Amino acid sequence: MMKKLISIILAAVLMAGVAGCGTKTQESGKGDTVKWYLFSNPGNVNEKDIFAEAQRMAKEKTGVDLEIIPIESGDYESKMQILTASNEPFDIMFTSNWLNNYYMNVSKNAILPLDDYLKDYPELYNSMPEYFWDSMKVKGKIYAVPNQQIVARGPFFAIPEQNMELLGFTDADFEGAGENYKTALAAVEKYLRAVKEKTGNYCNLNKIWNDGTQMFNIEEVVGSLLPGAIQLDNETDKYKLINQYESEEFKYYIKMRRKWVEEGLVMPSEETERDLDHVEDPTAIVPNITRGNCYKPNVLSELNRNSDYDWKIIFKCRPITTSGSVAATMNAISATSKNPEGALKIIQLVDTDAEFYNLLVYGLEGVNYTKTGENSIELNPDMPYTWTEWNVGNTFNKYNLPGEPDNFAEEVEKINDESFKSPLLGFSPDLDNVKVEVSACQSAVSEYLNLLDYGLVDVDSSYPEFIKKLKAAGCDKLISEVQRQVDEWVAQQ
Amino acid sequence: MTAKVENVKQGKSKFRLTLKWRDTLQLSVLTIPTIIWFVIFSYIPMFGCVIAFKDFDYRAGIWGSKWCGLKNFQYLFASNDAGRILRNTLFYNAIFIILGIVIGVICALLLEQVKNKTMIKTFQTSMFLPHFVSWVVVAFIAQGLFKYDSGILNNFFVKLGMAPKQWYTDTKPWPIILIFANVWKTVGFNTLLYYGGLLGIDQTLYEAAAIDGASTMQRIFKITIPMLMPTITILFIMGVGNVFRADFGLFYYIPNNYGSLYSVTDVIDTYIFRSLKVSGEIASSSAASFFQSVCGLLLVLGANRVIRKINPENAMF
Amino acid sequence: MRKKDINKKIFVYVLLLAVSIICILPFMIIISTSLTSEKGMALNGYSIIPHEINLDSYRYLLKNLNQILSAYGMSIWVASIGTFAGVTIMTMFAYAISREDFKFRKFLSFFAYFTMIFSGGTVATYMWISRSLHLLNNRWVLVLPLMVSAYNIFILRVACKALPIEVIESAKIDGCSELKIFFRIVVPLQKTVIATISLLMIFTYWNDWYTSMLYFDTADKSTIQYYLVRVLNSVNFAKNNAGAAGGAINTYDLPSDGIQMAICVLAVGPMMCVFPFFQKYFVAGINVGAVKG
Repeated sequence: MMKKLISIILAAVLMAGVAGCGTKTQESGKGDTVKWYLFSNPGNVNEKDIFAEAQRMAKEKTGVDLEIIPIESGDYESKMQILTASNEPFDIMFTSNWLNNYYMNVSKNAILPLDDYLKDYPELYNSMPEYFWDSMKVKGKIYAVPNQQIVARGPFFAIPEQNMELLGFTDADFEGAGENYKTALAAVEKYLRAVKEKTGNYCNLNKIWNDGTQMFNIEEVVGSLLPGAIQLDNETDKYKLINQYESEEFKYYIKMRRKWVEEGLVMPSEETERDLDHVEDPTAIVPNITRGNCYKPNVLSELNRNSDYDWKIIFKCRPITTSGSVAATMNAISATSKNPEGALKIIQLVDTDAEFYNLLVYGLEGVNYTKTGENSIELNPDMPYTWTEWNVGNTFNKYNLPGEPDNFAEEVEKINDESFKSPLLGFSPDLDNVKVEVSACQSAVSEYLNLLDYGLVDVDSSYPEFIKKLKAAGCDKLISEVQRQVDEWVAQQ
Repeated sequence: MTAKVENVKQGKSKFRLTLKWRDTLQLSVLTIPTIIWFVIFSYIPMFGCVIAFKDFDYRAGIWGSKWCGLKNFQYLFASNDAGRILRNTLFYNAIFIILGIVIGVICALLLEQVKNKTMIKTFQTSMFLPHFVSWVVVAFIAQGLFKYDSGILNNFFVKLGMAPKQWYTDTKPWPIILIFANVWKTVGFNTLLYYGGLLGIDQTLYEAAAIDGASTMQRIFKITIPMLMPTITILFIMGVGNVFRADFGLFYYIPNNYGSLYSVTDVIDTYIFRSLKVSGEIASSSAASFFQSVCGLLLVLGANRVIRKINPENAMF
Repeated sequence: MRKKDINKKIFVYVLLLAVSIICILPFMIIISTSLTSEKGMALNGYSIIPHEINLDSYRYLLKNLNQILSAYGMSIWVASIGTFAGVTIMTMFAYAISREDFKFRKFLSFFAYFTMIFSGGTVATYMWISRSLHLLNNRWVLVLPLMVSAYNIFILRVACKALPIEVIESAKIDGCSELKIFFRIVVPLQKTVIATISLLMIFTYWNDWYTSMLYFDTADKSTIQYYLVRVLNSVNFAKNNAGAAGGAINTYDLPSDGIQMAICVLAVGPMMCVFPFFQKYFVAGINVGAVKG
């Protein structure tokens, strides 16, 4: 038996050796077609025509042969991970801190550092403010081109507009609610109680902590939902990492949320199960309140699109920009690219040329949309074509849709520029040495966070369990390792 | 070699003849296409197993990356969840194997009693239906059942005057739910396999037993089950070989990836999947897969040896 | 005596009926959801019998009729060729290793089984198939990697083993070569198990969407399963990542529950039509009477 086992393994290794030789990468050459992987939407009808036009335009404006390959958004990450791991030659791909992880790609040498190339493309470099470039540097180098869009994360709360009058609220009632998390939560509670009193119903309210800790003035540094964050209003030691799950803010919030559930103010389950979008009666109080993490001028029109009634924002909190938010949408050039200069030319084109950008995002004029003004359009519902605007390039060049003010781009830029900038812009943690702790902490968080965030379990018994599990998972080691890296980075600035 | 005469089993005799060289060649020819396929599509890609032992750097490729010993296996064992995922995986798979055989055989026996051809076809079709549905879709329906607000089960409870239940935070009913889901999905396929085996049993054996006055139960246990043993054994061994691999779709989609249920629904494959999503470490998932394979192989070799002692014909190899 | 028989029959029927109903119920929920409009779903939730018959979901999906038909065509091509070729070479292999007197029986059995346990992983397989075999965007990539499975081989082997050695001996005495024995005698006798495995393989091919996703650049030439499933994947993506990028993901365009169920019906439906064709092999009527003759 052992002999057979050994002989099979030997044979397999031999054959594998033969196979392995054939899988080395080729040398790069100039003038090769630039391959760009984008993610598409399933409803698109005339993608082929649009791509053909895009290719023609790209050739005309930059002289580069472009090939656009659409991949379904749901499959994008898995496919790109396999393509990069297999050293498949291609040029441009989307990367970010939440999809096709940027930092991971950098550590695996899957994408090219662009600092040297960018010297030849001043137009691209100057198209966005300096802090954009600084925020996503890894070890001082630029590895991708951010797709400009809203990067400030401004939490806000909105309610159905008709509720304002029906519940007897005025704007003054919510004045100053966005100052800090305590006033914000108090304002929300005021609203919930009013709804409960008048209708006896509990409200739909999504998770608050999990949706973004900006509201609590906390910035997660180690990673999304991983323990290790800084408190942004800590004047004395702004680089000190804490375990946000042991913080006063967290404890305050979960106790409050649990109270809301126990008193029947919010739904006692995860996710909003009741469909409240289709309420057409303007005299009914809709037991709904929504929390968003990213205020932009068109956020109301988006909310209104999804439901049968209009929304009103009751208050906003201070918008905050972090490295993570800038790294949320970027285009990177693969290390297997055969034509990095051509790829950068295309990226520059899509980031600075409004015609090319809007072609890819909205389609062909007269076919997929009609122009209603110099910079505004209306979509043609018979020929649907949508492309996620932040996947493609600089969103500030996009045409305005109905509901968006004419100076939309300027407004967003203003919000970005005026937002509070995190002191750790440009820092990213290297988690290679603490992989085990990361996995374990992740597991612990996913087991308890949602339960606490939705107030589904008794805080006094579950919360200590949660902290115990985090400690057992090594959260302290994780935090001290990243703190060490932060201190090093600060010293180098 | 001389011809051997083995023990007579129920009236049949077995001879072992020397196979002529020409016959061996012809039988070998029959195996060649499949062997080629295995080499091209299974054995050559197996070189990917080395990723488990390397610090995988995409640029350097598989061959250029540095060896790192067992480092990639650490995250599986170092975490305090290791015991839990191992226990869950083994527990569920053991039950699935046993129930799959028991329920499959029982349903096949029941089906055998039905003489009306249309009824047989109807039963078979309906039992096979769950096989067609992917776990993602089943999860949809499971949500419809278990939703707190307007789920079918909670509506039912409310009608009976009881309080609605938080299905996704209470871990107690989930082992049963998952086992039931697995049985539901595989019952048709298993029944079909065993039913096919039943069809091949010589009817004269039953006639002889009837003449001897055997009851139904005696007939089942003395004739049917022994004749099904080869099928049962092979499926058992193959199940054992995969006992460290869980059905990902079942354990990920049905509990809807609710962390509150991890203590009873987290298995090796879901744990790896989540880790991979966060870290993107292909080497880690490769290591975990390698671990599952090695454990499975050891178990199979052990099981095969035991079975070979009981009845060499039923052994896998 | 009579009463006992009737009781037994009732017992059997009741049990089988219970099992069948449990198996069918979820299906009815799927079909009824696919026939309900979005508003209906919001009002009534899931139900077993639809409150209305609304074909909107199907109309939406069948807009691109050409694409769908060509996707169906591709699926049918892949499933037929793959199943036929696969079942043929697997049965040949399984029969050979089922013969107690075949010299390489043990070695080849282990050779086959080893592949069930160890696998190189997606990355290695992708590199090999795309780089060295050059099968990217080629429809054979949908057929070849799934053609053989050790699991099926062992099921076939068990069935072939049930064949009494006397049959083969008597054939040899009559002067048949091994190859002839296989094609003329063994295959006709294994109809049931060949039908079972064929059905399983058709089903595997039909359900496979991952291969299309991995090796094809566009969904044009994909199978029907991938064509439909990618919609489901995109829906989940949008739902789970709604806020992550800051910018909006258009949720109002997302297919509703009804459409997702209609996708399942369209994807699975044809398989249901195939099943009855195989059923005649699953019903009693085949006997191993060759020895007597």
